[in-house]
Amino acid sequence: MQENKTPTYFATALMALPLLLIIIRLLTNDGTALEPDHRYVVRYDFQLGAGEQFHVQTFLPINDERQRIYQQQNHAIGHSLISIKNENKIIRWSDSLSGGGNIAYQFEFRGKPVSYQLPEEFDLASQNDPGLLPYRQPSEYIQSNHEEIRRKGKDLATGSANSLATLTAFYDFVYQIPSSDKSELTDALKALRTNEASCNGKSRLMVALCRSAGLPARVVGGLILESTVKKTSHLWAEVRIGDHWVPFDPLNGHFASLPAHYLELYRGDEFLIKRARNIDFDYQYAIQKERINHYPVFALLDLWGIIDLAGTSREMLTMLLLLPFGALIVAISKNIIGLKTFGVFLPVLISFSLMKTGFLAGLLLFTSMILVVACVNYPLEKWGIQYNSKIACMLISVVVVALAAIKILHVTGWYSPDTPLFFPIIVLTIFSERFARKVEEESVGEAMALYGTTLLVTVLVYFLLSSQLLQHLVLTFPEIILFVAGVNLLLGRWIGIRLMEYYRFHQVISKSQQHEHI
Amino acid sequence: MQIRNAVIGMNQRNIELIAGYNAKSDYKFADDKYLAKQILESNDVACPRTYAIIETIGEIDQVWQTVKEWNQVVVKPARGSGGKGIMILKRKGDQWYEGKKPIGEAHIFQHLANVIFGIYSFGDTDVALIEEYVRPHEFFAEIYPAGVPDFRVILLNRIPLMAMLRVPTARSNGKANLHQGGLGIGIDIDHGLLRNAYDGKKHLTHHPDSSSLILGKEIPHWDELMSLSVKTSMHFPLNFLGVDLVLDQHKGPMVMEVNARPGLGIQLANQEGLKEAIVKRAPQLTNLFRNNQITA
Repeated sequence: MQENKTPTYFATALMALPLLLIIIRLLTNDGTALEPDHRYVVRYDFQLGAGEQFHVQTFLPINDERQRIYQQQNHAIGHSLISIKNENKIIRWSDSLSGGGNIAYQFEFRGKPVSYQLPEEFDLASQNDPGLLPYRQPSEYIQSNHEEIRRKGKDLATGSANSLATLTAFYDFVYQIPSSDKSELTDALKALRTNEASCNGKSRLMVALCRSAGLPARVVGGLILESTVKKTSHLWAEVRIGDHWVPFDPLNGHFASLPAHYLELYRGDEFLIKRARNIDFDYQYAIQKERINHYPVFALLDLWGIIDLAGTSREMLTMLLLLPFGALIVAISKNIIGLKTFGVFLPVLISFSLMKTGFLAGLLLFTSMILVVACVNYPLEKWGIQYNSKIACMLISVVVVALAAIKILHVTGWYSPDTPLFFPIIVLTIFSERFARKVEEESVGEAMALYGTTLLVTVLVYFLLSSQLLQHLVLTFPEIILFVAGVNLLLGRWIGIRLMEYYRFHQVISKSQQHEHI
Repeated sequence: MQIRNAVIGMNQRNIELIAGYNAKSDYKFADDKYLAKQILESNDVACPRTYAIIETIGEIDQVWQTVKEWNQVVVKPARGSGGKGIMILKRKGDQWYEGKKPIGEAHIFQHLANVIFGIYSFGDTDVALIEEYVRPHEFFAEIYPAGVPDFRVILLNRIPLMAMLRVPTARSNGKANLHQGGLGIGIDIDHGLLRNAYDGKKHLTHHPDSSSLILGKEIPHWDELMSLSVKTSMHFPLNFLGVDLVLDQHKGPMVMEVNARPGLGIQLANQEGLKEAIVKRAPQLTNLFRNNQITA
């Protein structure tokens, strides 16, 4: 048999061309395919009217675990002086002015989201830390020793101050206060009394309640970044838990967490801008969101653009692009390792389901359903029920158990009602049918064995496809699926022995060697 | 010698032997037992007699009445594989038995309906074949007295490469397929002698249930069995195929069915790789190996 080389050349081209394109795009674009997927260019614009002397001061962001600042540029009239005070970085411009002028300070921000899992009882911050002293005591706008706030704190507290329940009660109370769109300064007491507050009133009240209960807390100021020009800054709260300042935003509903696009500028109850009173002054913040994993030059298909501009579901596109990767893993598992699965796409679809339900919950769900099908099979088989009716009965038992599970989860609150279960349930029913069919055609044992290897491959697929890096990579470089096609072509013509066949056939060889020796 | 120089794995079997030697459109002659039977019968290749064919669920009852007169029948899905859906039935008076277990007509009808519905046949609707029961040759009773043992011969371009005898065991419920718990016994095809038996885990010289000696036993009618397998291969367009033969006490060798995708377990039964066998028996075909890894 003369080997046909065309598929090999074709596969090589399929693998090489997308790689070439990716290299060209990497060389001609500026960015990174790794996280984070956004950067924001932030510019302070201050306009000053004519006057004899002026000074303006504001805060500059500091690098920390959550945020990185790059490319700082100061285009300003006058002298500028940068200093550090109370953990904050302050910039102060000053000079004499004749005809007025502008100050523009620009930098690039990249942020990461943070989220803390708090235990039921957490460690209190050290009592002896003098640095925390200011965050325990009342201040001008945070009247934590005021009778009304102390009483409110006591009413809300359930158990000790260092319990998650108390912290949650404070947060929930502040969170449910109706929001006000007024940006004027609201102190903690006023927020409590009027039962209406914007970010600054809510944050101060949250901090005041914490301090009244003995928890060190502070407000933190900054900007919520979005592509816009705005004047509004934002204030949120931080509570000292153990050795960490844990963020809470009781206006926007972030409990012990903060999204990536929060730019932190200062800590403590400060004013963002301080200036000389005697001149005309106006300000704004110009913010531009930019993708850094976008690679627009030479992009055949700019998926990030489609996601950002057309609002196409990123999840849907990711899933679409990851399907071929999942199928490749299944093909490798079968043709190279020798692990058989229920179908090629099923392990991939189950993996996507696990991403929705959570890994362990999903595995439990699928396994319990499979056991239900296996159990129901026994009486149905014994009574000699026809195939169609039998499969239908098995599916009904799956639905009954799913409904029971949902009910139990609702009652116990183990799952939030907005968990998207639609997709997992569809996959589950398809899978139950395949499983039931295998039980019918072969045996429960064979079906369980195949379920075992399917699960193994599914877990492999799950961990690979959950990779943020891979997800970013396929959205930025969708041409890579042609590479996957090339790999599949080669794999489909590979005639080597599967890994598990080495084990299966090892006895053949030992005997052959005996023959040779004889 | 290394495994990859001796053994043929799934990937190589699928690509180079099945797809390389057979046209896809010819698989049906093996996959459809009814079609295969027609080829065998029209070419006077000895095979078990077909009593009836049931094509629709509606005619089960009517056709079954014509079958009831026989004392022993085999029900098979025409497009089943791996021995799935095969039911061996014996009659004593009005009572049918599957093995030693009494079985009601309702259960038989249900099985026939399942066969026709296609659950053993990759989702297509199927046809139920009802055939003559082969009375195993007394030679087999010396090894194990129950069930119907059969021979599998693998041929490439009409050259027999390797053969094995499949024998039921207590745990295989009368069936001889390796993955249903049967034994695979390798065969020295030049001399018609049995080699060791393989039970899926280890090699045995004796049958595990009857303790009869297997190794070295001479197979009766071996030359006829071999020539029948070659004759069968002449009438099928498949160049790589497995021929399944039985040995009837009175009628001698008969072809049971033809398989376009013969399993690789035969290498374990013989403790010999198919690549080695090709080198030895069909050296003119070894250029089929792309990497020419044959070093034997």
